[in-house]
Amino acid sequence: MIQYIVTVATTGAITAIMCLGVNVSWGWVGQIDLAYYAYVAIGAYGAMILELHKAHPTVTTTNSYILGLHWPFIPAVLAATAMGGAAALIVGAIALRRLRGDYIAIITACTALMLTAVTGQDNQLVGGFIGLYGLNQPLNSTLHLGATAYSYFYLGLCIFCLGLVYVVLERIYRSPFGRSLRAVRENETAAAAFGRNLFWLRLRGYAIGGAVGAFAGALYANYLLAWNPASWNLIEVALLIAGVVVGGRANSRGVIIGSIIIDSLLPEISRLFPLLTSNTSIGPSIAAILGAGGIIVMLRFRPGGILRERKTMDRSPAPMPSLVPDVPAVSLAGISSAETTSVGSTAEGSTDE
Amino acid sequence: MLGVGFGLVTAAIVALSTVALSLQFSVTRSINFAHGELMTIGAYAGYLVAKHTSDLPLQAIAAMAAGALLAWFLNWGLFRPFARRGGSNLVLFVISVAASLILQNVFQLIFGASYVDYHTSATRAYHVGPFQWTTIDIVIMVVAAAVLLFMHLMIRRTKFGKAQRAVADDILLARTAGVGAERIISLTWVLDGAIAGLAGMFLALQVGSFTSTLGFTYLLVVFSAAIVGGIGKMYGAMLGSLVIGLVMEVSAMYINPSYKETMAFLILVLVLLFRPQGIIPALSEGAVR
Repeated sequence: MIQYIVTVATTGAITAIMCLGVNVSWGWVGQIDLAYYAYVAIGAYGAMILELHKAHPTVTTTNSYILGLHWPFIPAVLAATAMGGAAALIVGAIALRRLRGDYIAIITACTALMLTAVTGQDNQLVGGFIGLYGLNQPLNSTLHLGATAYSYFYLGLCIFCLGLVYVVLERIYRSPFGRSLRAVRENETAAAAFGRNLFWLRLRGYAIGGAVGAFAGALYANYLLAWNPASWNLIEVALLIAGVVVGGRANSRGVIIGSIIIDSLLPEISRLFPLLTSNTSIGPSIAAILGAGGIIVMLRFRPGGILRERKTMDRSPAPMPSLVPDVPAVSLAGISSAETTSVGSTAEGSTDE
Repeated sequence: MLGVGFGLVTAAIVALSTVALSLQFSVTRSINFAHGELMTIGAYAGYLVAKHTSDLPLQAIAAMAAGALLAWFLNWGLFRPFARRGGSNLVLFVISVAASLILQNVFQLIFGASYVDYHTSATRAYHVGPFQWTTIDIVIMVVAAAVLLFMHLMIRRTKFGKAQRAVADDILLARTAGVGAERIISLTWVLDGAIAGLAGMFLALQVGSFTSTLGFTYLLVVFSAAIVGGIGKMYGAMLGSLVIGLVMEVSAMYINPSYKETMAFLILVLVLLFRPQGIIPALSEGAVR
């Protein structure tokens, strides 16, 4: 039972990191990134090809993989994170250039599908459909822990990483850069008028999201010790988005809560349904239906999510005497206090009076 | 040349679905990510009817009815309430992504996760010039051509088509002029669903077996065709489908057929990069905008 909880908690912590990454693009920048799981996969593949070494049972006559450098765990994870960020920079440079929000979603979806096709079909790149497997438990060559103790250790590591990502993202969120991102989200024209480079801001936000996804992917691969094209699916992004929407868009704490509810508790509770009927495969389907239903219900009744985005406050010590008394809310960040509250952008407008 | 023949069949299926998507987009201005599920439900409806009768027209009617019903429901239950409350296009898009995921899993709950077989009984191969088609291939192409012609006539010649164009141009102005915009949008969705359902049934018949993700795997191909042709333009959608269908099947003759869809996406990415308005932007008086 405890082992079961440890498994769920480890996966949950990794998924929460993934959701935090989705929150950067959907919550902060306000764009739908359907390629997100591709960055998770890049992180997973990246960590594995760096950590495995060439003379390994995975290498057969038909299947092989590139690199195989036999790096230690930590540099491999960091490098995989950088790979995800770099991939996001490239995709973002194409997708964000001059496309509307829903087109960005479509082009990123196509990117993800292309990557699935390539990783699955090319047997020499990352092992084709068989994928990669046979990784040793990271760090255990020095720690020499037993199976149970190691699972506790890895859970602790994942929770530590979740905390780390949370702190780093919170800092970015509060930084001038984070404020500019939100300004772009709330009102592009105003942000541009205040001299913000929309493309460059969005691209950096997008790359941060991709890097966080890759980081989570690297952790995930090191937990599963195997990775193949079946491990990731385009539509699963929807469940990560669901975690963000339900928890509270652009509120990191809310996102973690939402991720736990939608991506950890729901699937586990749904495992109970098959006990009621003879059909054993309905669990994941029910979890997906409920999760996606969560998006619709939340957007309809509480677009801000469980924990709403905090109001930005003007923290300057003495309020500046406003020259234009009628519009006191406009600050340098483009749009601030009054308007940042409308989290669900226009969807909320009419509901929130 | 064989590839071109297959390409024409694929193009016919894609064209049906794309024209439906484009029509819906031009009138409502929101991208429906659950469009693939309209195709899937059509396929399942055809499959269910085929269990009782091998009558192809009956199966087609069932597919169209199922697609139309689902599309009407999507509009009535999801898109209209959200649009009425001023949901942005992006919010509507997220809603449709959620709807797509829900529907896929509902299909999986009802029909199971494994492939189901769906064939027509009487089929044989024909050699027409350099091409090689089966009976169903020819049926698909003829019906697709007929449906596209019907769409053209409907949009150009009927009062309903005129109202559709008015709503697509400017919904407020259309309302002011006494067009029942809600009804037109509703009917557009029904039409969209019916044609997409038919396309889904044809796709399933042509492939021979399918699962709950039939439409979803084809969705981005349809998007590619729609955007290559300039989304919302009906004749553009037909041309885009032709381009995408031919590229997919001809490329499959030379490289690994698993990269078929990848080729379609590659074209989409190139078009979005260099001609985001589609390949025929000059056709501004195209059917429904």
